Amino acid sequence: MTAFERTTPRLVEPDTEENLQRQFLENKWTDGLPIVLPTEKRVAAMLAATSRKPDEIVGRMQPTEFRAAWEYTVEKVAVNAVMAGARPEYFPVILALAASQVTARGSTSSSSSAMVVVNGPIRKEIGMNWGTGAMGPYNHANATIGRAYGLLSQNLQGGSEPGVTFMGSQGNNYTYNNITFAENEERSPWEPLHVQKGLKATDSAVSVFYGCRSTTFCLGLREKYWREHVRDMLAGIDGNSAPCLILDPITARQFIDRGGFDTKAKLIRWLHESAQMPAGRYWDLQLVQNYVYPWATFGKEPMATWLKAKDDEFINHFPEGEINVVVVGGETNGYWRIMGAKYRKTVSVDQWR
Amino acid sequence: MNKIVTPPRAESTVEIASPGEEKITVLNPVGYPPKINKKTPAARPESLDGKTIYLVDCRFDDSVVLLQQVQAWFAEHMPAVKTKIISLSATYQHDDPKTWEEIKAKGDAAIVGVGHCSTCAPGVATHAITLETRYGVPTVALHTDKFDRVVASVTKMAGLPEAPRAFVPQPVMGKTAAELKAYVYGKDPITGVPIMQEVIAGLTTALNA
Repeated sequence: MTAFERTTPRLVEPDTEENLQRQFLENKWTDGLPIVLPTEKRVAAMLAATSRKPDEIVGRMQPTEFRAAWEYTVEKVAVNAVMAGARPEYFPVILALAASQVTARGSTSSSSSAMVVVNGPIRKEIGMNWGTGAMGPYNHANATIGRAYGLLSQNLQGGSEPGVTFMGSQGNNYTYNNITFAENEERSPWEPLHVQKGLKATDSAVSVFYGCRSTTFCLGLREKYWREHVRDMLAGIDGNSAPCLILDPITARQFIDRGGFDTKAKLIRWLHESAQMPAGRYWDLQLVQNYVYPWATFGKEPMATWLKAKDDEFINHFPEGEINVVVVGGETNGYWRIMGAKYRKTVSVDQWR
Repeated sequence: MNKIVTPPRAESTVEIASPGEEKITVLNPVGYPPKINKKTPAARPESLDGKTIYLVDCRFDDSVVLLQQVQAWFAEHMPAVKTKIISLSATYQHDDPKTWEEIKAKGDAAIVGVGHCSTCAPGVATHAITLETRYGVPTVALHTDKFDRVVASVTKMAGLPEAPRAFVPQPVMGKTAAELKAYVYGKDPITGVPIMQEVIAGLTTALNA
């Protein structure tokens, strides 16, 4: 069992505000933007927003597989939450993200980003946005919770330094706040995401997705060719990822009107059946060669069965269980997108209050 | 024609707030590192003559094409050495005890490659250390030069900072067999030493304890 050393000092040597801002930047403890300095008073206020003890271990995190994981406590998460500019009332959400142990600062050369969906009563309690502009910068809770997730990931996993612990060749601008938003449960025609993942509607939860490199985009669903248009969009999602539909409520209802999908599960089944590619073309994708083909030869299903298909035979290459649907937006129009993002985990916020 | 109006210049007397001189105390945001446990490498043979070297394909991009060039180099320059190319059972992201057992039972040394992505470089380094320290097989890891600092960091945290490795140029992906042969027959861009000289030394020279 891995042992962890408490060699990281609790405090930084006292200095002026200007010098400390520079020191945090030079130590690569920030995302390059100014931070709120984590004074003892500010951290104490953050800690007062949870019943958990400061020295309680929250989890372990690593930039990627085969890199050593580092360990962190409630107080360490609070320090990073303060740095991001978060208010104490957001802290249970930030703790839940830390408890997911899914890094938002993955080292991958493919330049991934996390995506965070918040569900349940906490959305209203802390004033999150799930309407107009929810995936943009206009809401303090959305903005700072997502930033806190990024900062805590890089500092609590032992760094995110280009060339050493971060190798994203192009980088990913989404990682500034990790696409953090609340689901529009009020205007969605379907059950919320966290209920799909086994929690009650009255629970509060965060769900973490990872990937967010490939995106396809559309307006509404036209009567004649909507099925073909959606298939075209699905074909644009990278083969080692999974489609996550991000639907404005207008388009969510259109999926019911056009296709009769009165549950998310029915829509997901149709998406799985619609996303097809000739086997030969699929197996020739580099990402598929690297990450799917080895498992197929190992005998893992359904990949092993796909491997038996002839080159011109169509396979349904997105497993049904990996497709997700989230509703967000202010109904200013029926724009929607499909994000290539794999679901990782849903964590209760209530257990971190 | 519209007249272009030049805005008035800002007064140069705008006062910039002077930074506070008061020293303040803040908390350190960094987590707690794992304890490093020093590992012991495998003993080295004096010579590779008559020995069997496993060339382990990590199955990322065109790793196996580069390993085929390593195999060809041995056939040309050290024909007394037997080589066998073997692929990991699944992806490089998982430990592969079945493959390590085969190498331990039937081989004398191993070359694992190629570490040329953010996770497969740590993966290749870790697999090589596993072979060294758990299975007693002298092993050299092959990576591309973009990942030298990644590998140094991973081997240090894994308790075997001196783990033998050699670096070929980036990229390997999409290169022809002839281009990859030039990599293998060329020099390590990090050290300037011929790649195969580093590999042979890594398999036959005792590592510093």
